[in-house]
Amino acid sequence: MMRLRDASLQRKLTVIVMITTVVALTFAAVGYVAYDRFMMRTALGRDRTVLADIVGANSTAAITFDDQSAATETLAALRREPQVAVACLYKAGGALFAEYDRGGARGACPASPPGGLVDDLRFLDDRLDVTRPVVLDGRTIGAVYIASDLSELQARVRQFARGAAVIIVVASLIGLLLLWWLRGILARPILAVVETARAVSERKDYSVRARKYGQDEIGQLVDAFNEMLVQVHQRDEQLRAARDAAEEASRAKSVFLANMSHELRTPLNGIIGYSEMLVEEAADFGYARLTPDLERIGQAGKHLLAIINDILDLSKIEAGKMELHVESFRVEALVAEVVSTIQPLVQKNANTLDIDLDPSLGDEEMHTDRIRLRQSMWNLLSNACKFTHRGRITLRVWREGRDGPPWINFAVTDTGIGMTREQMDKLFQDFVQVDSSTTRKYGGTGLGLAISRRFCRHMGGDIDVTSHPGQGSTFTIRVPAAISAEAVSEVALRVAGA
Amino acid sequence: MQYLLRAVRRRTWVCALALALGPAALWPVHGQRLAEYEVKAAFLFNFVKFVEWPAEALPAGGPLLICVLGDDPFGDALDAITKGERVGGHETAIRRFRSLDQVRSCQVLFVSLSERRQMPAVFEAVRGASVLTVSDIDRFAASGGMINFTKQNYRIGFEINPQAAERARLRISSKLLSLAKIVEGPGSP
Repeated sequence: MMRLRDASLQRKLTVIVMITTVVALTFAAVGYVAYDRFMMRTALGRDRTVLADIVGANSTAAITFDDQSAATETLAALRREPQVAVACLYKAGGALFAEYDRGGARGACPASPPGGLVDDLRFLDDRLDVTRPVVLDGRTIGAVYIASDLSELQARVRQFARGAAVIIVVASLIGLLLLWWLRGILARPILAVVETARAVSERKDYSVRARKYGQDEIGQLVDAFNEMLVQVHQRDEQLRAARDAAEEASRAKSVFLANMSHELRTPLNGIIGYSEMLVEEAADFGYARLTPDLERIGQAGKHLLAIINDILDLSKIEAGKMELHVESFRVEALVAEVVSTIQPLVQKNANTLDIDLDPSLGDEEMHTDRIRLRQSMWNLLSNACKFTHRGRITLRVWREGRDGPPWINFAVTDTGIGMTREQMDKLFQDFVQVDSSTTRKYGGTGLGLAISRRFCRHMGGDIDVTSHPGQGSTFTIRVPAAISAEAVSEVALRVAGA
Repeated sequence: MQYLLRAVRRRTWVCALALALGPAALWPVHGQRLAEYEVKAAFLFNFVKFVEWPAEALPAGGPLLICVLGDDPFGDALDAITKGERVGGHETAIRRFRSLDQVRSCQVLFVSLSERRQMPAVFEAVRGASVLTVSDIDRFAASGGMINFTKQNYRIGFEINPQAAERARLRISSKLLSLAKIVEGPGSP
């Protein structure tokens, strides 16, 4: 039955109808055969009883006048009835008086009637025994016993059963044929819907509609299905439009920002430049006490410039206008360069910086965007310095990939405040520092990591982070040592969508 | 048949005596004769069961008379058999006559051997009346009687003259007729 559940609709239908048909027919046949047998037996019993009575009535004189030959002759008339096998006439005391045997055998009669000289009727395996008393003038003067052969009756029952079996088989076959012819009525509409659903699912074509065959439950299913497709299609269209609009808006924004670079930087450079000039002139004209205020103007301007640069970088990447400036350089040299510039920041929070250059690097040369890689490294290190107090910052560099193209890893580990999982998830999003409070406390634009990651991905690599709150973090830059030409264009496409 | 003999044996001192005195071999002649007339008495009585009398001759509820004309050969056998028995709802009674005066009142008339020479007179006496005439006079039925006993090979049989019975408006059952030898008697006397 479990397998039936998984069988095709047509098979299910076939099995169900066939079982129903066969069971119903069998029941009917069995019932009728049983009924027929019962009726036959009842009729036969009645018939034999009447026969016994007649024989008995005709034998009264013979018994009364002790005329055995006459009695035997009377019994012999039963030859006319082919199913009577044995007939016996008994006198009142139970003694056998006359007998008849169809086969002519002698001694076929039992010594006394089974069950006595009383009315008796019993069906045995292949025999019907009937005993009737012989009555004269109200007194029982003897008994007649007739044994009939049931084999004909049984043969008839068997014949009937065989006939019924044949009919069942034929009817089942006819049923199968009809089923074959008619099952399409049920199966076709369902299969059509199944096909359509499959096609839609495979081709992702939501403009297809299922065909409706009738207004039954399946028809309703088809209607609902098509309605669903319409909604999906509409929603698809809406989503696509929305996405396009959003992308367009985003791109427009980036283009706008990129184009604004010049417009923004020019006045700022002016502010920074003139503030520096004023510092010098103030010193020259003896207004040295104005210097701190003037320097603040300059710093504010530089800070603002840094923010604007970051924003413009980001927008340039998003607008797809970021181009890699590929050059060859030694890893060792790059590391030295970055370390030297980061020293002031390290000392600012009383941290120590350890460098761990894997010896396998040696004179390893990289062929990628040096400037951007340096910027990313500097970003990681500055973050480490910012979020660690009196801690240890370690920069570990090593080479990966003995067989195949080599990759270089730059891991910055600090013993700073660390991050929770939620904080890590938010980490690389634009304009989000770990939480808003850190912007005020630690400074920065909040764009550094996002930009660094984009740079690394652009170069064909990525930035990973692991961290435990209170224990520190490790940020790892992992980039291919050499970036190929195809990779550049491929990555450009990828980054545009990143 | 057996039951009647049993009845006899049960009911009469004759039977007791017969049993007590052992097998019939001790009374060869007398014993045989007794047995024969026991059987004939039983037959006579049983004939009644296979004969129908018209209503006027045997009214419902009325007694059924079995009469013996002449020397009674039955001894007590007939009395023993019929004592207390009813046939078809009729009580049975035995009468013995020497003369023909009252024979018309009987339903059954057994004509004894002693009346052999009186046969025509007997027939005359019962003519028109529904009386079943039975006898063991030889050729009784052929002479105009209805039933007479015969003896073949120690078996007691009987002959029946159905026409004689019909003339007396008696109906004899075919079952009885089938056991008997059918004879024809003289035409209507």
